[in-house]
Amino acid sequence: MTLTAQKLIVACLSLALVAALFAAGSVDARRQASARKHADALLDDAANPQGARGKAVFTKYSCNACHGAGGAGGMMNINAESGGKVNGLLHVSETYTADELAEKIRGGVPLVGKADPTGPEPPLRMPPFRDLIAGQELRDLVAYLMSLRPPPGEAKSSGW
Amino acid sequence: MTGHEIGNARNPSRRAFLSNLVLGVAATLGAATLAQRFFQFLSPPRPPERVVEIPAIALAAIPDGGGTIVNLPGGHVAIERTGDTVRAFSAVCTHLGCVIQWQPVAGQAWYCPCHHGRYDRDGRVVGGPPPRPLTPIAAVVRDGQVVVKLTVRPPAGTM
Amino acid sequence: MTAQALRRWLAERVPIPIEELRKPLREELPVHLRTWVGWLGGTPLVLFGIQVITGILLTFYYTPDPSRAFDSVRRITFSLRFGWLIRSLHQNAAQLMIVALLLHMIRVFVTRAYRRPRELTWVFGVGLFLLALGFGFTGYSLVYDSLSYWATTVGTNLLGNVPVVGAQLLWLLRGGPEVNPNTLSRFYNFHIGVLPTLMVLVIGAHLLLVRLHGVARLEGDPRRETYDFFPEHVLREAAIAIVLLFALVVYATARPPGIGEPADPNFTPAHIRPEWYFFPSYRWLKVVPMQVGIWTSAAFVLAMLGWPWIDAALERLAPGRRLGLWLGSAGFVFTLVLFLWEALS
Repeated sequence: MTLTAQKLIVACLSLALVAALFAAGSVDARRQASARKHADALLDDAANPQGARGKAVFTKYSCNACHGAGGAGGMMNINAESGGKVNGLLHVSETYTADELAEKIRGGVPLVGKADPTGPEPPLRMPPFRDLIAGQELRDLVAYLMSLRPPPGEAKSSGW
Repeated sequence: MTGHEIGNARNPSRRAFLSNLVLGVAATLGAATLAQRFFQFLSPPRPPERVVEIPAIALAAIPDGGGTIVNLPGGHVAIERTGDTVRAFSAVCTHLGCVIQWQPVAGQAWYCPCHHGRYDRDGRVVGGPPPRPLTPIAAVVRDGQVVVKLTVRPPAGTM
Repeated sequence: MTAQALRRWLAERVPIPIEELRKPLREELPVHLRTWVGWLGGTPLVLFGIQVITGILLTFYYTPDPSRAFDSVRRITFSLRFGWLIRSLHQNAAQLMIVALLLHMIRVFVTRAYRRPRELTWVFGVGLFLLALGFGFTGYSLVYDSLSYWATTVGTNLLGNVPVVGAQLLWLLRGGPEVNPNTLSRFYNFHIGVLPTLMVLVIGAHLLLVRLHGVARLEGDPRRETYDFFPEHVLREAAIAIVLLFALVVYATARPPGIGEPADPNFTPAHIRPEWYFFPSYRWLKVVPMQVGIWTSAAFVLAMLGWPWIDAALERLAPGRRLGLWLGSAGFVFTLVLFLWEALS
């Protein structure tokens, strides 16, 4: 192989390296975006410390087990009037005042309405949290729930 | 690097010159792109910012007509009280960035110990080297708490 | 001022004998080195260069403190621009460096280029290999995720079994009775201070000897032709360097590095394993009694270091029978079997 050919090969390899380094930019953009999202979430908590504490209460008492992560809803509850599922909580601020919501949490929902009156009893119901969540925790939880909003663009759902 | 040395090859025929040129340009491009990635690594991304209302101090903790410095997540804040109203400034001296102190004497309210910068209750410079008045910060009294509006960033090292 | 005048001005003030410095570039290499195995000697050096640059970059953000090390690595991997790329380059160039060193050693072993008067070149070379292993071990421990923490604990504990001085050695290496904050700063120091300094010195000695002796001619090769170190050989090394960099960048992009769970001194995860280049010794120490394992490992390293003299002795014992080649190959196959045994279990 002549020296000239060797030089041209090395030149081509260098250009391939440049291309690979540019392709690496896409992975970097992805990681940057998720890092930014993480930082934004931290800032949300800093801007709304009570909401951040309420979010912790929400998972501490496993509200998310039925109402879904972030109150997005979804747990199956056969024959429940709210569409056969446990309600999401993204609309509570449109339906309740803070005091009413606190009362709802304290009392629970002992009887879930049936979608089909002749059908079976819906298996899931909300226990009263009167003895578990109170004081600052209750205030934080209510503040968090009242701050929930449906994602932009979503039509107002039935129920809460 | 390589290209440069090869540029001095002993055999300056046209063919050799052209291949050296191509090699030099390509190698420089490769090295420059790699170096650019490295420099991007060395300059950390600018973290997002958010303007946040932060409870700074109980109003009662500041004597009427007095002032104090509070250290908050968004920086040092200088707060002065007149009756039930408050005013706040960034406590960073506009000269070279030291933190000012409450030191009311003869027309002066805030004093910077570094180079004797002096400001009055309105944050105006009344002596010393500071080039600009203190930067005002929005502040209100709510439920007996002084609440200030600050720009905060996520904790250091998050980004 | 013309270029000529500038050069004269500089030459007067910085009187470097340029012609002397050019001499090493005028080296002429025997033609057998023109095949690809002949390029392997320069490859570890290229990779070491990559390690130095990426390593310096990583020190800008890495924090050698047990409570913060993991978070700083996570930040490098997920938050800083191209931190994942730099970490991946550092991690995988290290693996390639071990591979390149092994291939180079095999090449030199098979061609018996270590024979008199080049024994010391070989000894320094083995030293470089051991240093590279040291880099690998200390570097792996710095990540401070669960696997790395426990691999460090297990690895250093092995040393404690060395007769007589083991406990002392362990204390010295860890800076205390168990893996503790001292251990991390010490491993960090080894990794970025002590080992690099030794590495540069030994590379210098190795290359100096290579240059002073000239590259060994191939046994039984009648060809007398040579080719130039510069530009031909340098061009080939450059080609290898760029191909390796390209492969490393593509690999990093295809499989960007992640990070495990933070290290928890109270919980040992399943499947603790050292890096692959420690597999043979790891397996060996598992299958034989501890004391036997330690003595045989030490003997193995000594045999590697003294190989030029062992080979010469075997040659005197039975001239022309190539006993050394057979013995060395047997040792190699044995190591390979241990490696596969560990890798596949």
